[in-house]
Amino acid sequence: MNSWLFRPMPLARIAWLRVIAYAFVPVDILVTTEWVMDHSVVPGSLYQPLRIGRLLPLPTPGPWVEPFGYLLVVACLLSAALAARDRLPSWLGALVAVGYLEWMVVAMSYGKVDHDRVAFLVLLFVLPTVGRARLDDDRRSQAAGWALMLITIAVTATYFLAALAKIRFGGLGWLDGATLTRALVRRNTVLSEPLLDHTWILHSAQYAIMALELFVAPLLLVRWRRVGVTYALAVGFLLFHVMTFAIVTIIFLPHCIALLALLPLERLARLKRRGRSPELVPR
Amino acid sequence: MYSTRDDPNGTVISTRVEAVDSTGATLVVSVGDTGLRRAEIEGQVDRFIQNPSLLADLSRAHHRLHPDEPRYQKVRIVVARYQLQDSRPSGEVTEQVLATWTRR
Repeated sequence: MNSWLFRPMPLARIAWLRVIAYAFVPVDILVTTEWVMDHSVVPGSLYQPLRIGRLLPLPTPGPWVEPFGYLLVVACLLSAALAARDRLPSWLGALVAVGYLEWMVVAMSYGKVDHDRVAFLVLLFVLPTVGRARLDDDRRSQAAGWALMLITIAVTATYFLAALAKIRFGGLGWLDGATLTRALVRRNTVLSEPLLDHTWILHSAQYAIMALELFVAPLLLVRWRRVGVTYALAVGFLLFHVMTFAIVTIIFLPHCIALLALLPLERLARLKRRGRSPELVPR
Repeated sequence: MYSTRDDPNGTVISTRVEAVDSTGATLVVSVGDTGLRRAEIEGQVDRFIQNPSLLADLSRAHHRLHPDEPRYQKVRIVVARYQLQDSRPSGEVTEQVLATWTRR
């Protein structure tokens, strides 16, 4: 168990993940889920706080949401720039994590909770625990291994619990139901419209999704002897999300960022070094 | 939201919000108009049915977000039910207004 949870992993991957995740938050706030900012104009009567918002004395969203969003954008850009230089990773990381958690309370307290944020939130909270890490760090650490494994557990749980929810609310009959037809009727695209005429594809896709979430996702937790298996699985899941976007215009972007934790981001450092001064690359 | 089962020979629903503005135009309200996503309105649809005056708050949010646009005089939630046959829309669609608010 210890060797599974605390296996030393490259510190450079943590450093790259910090830069990517902190730089992604401004994209999330300003571009891909820019609707969160608009909650600033929605009257408080429509605010339905999540449990965390009922337990903690968090303010009802209002005009303050807009300046808070921009402040978070600036803080994240600064954190990304400083993370690239390995400055104050724990303090800034914690600040981003807490700030983004509050942003999520503002986002998800109006009657719909998106489940593409769990792994990304876990990622934001575990990254600061690792301590110093440089983009070209050659060292490995147990702290990095623990953080990456927790992100992997959250990624896996996102899929696995989605399957359990289907069984819980839809029963095993979900597999032979018409849920994907409903998804397409609600939000169809050029690619999805022809699918409504070939319902056997949708029917099979429901079996494929359930199998993927229930049986393939847990394979992400395995420490394979050949690490390439994990890379292939992570790339496979990323492609699955791209395909979902093409068909029903739903993309799990924050979750995709968390999936990157399973890929050898540390190799980017080698590319960077090779590009700069090849003669200095240590063998 | 897609964890529930839909009957292949039943109906699937798609909800929308419509508004009539002060020029008389009927508009389909989307996320950028009021700051609420369709799924959020669906998530609170029972509250809107029980208390349609909450729709006035959508109109208020629209005015705050787009002060230059004509104000909403009427807001309603409409649900479209698509009849399925073997998981395929049969072409038969019925619509029902679930909640309406009119400015006084």
